[in-house]
Amino acid sequence: MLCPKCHAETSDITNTCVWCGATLNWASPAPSTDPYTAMPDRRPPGDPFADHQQAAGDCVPPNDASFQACGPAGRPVSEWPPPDVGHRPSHRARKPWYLTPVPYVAVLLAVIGVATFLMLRGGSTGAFPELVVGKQPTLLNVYTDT
Amino acid sequence: MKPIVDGLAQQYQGKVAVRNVNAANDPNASKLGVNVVPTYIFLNSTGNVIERQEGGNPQALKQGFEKATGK
Repeated sequence: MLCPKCHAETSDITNTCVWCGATLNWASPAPSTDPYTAMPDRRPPGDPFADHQQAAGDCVPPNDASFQACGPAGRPVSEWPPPDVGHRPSHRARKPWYLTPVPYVAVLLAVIGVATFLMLRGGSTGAFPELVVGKQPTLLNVYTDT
Repeated sequence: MKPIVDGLAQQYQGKVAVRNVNAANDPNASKLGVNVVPTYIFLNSTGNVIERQEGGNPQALKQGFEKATGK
């Protein structure tokens, strides 16, 4: 980051400029870089826990009776990690064919169709018009001499 | 069973015809898918199978004749 006094690039690990020793201002980060400042409160209006939660930026010292551990940017830990903001893909990723139900449904329908055909074919009694005698009901007597 | 079949054929003469199929040498036997002898297959006048009986059962055979004549 840049030192506000000497405008030199300095380390942001310490709170003083390594070049001029000026105190770096950590307390007021640029609003545009804090994603939480633009976030609306997504808690439902009737949230029973609303009264027990600290608002953003209400963190207090550890020796305070209402102490609650704070996350980055002064937000309570209960609100961390932050909701996903601004990283949604522009279009939905297309699933591979084997993750869609279509091929499995097609195979199932094909199996049902073949099974139905075989059952009807096997259960059918058949027709033998060439064995009819005199165009009248006919008994086929299948016998053996042995 | 032959006398019973002959008696029923005589009784239903003119209503139900009887065609004997020798399972040993008649090619129709395999076409009919016969696995048991005797087998009795009743056809209607158009050749569709009405009833199929495997084994000799005089009472069932008589019922088959009645069914073939529409009774």
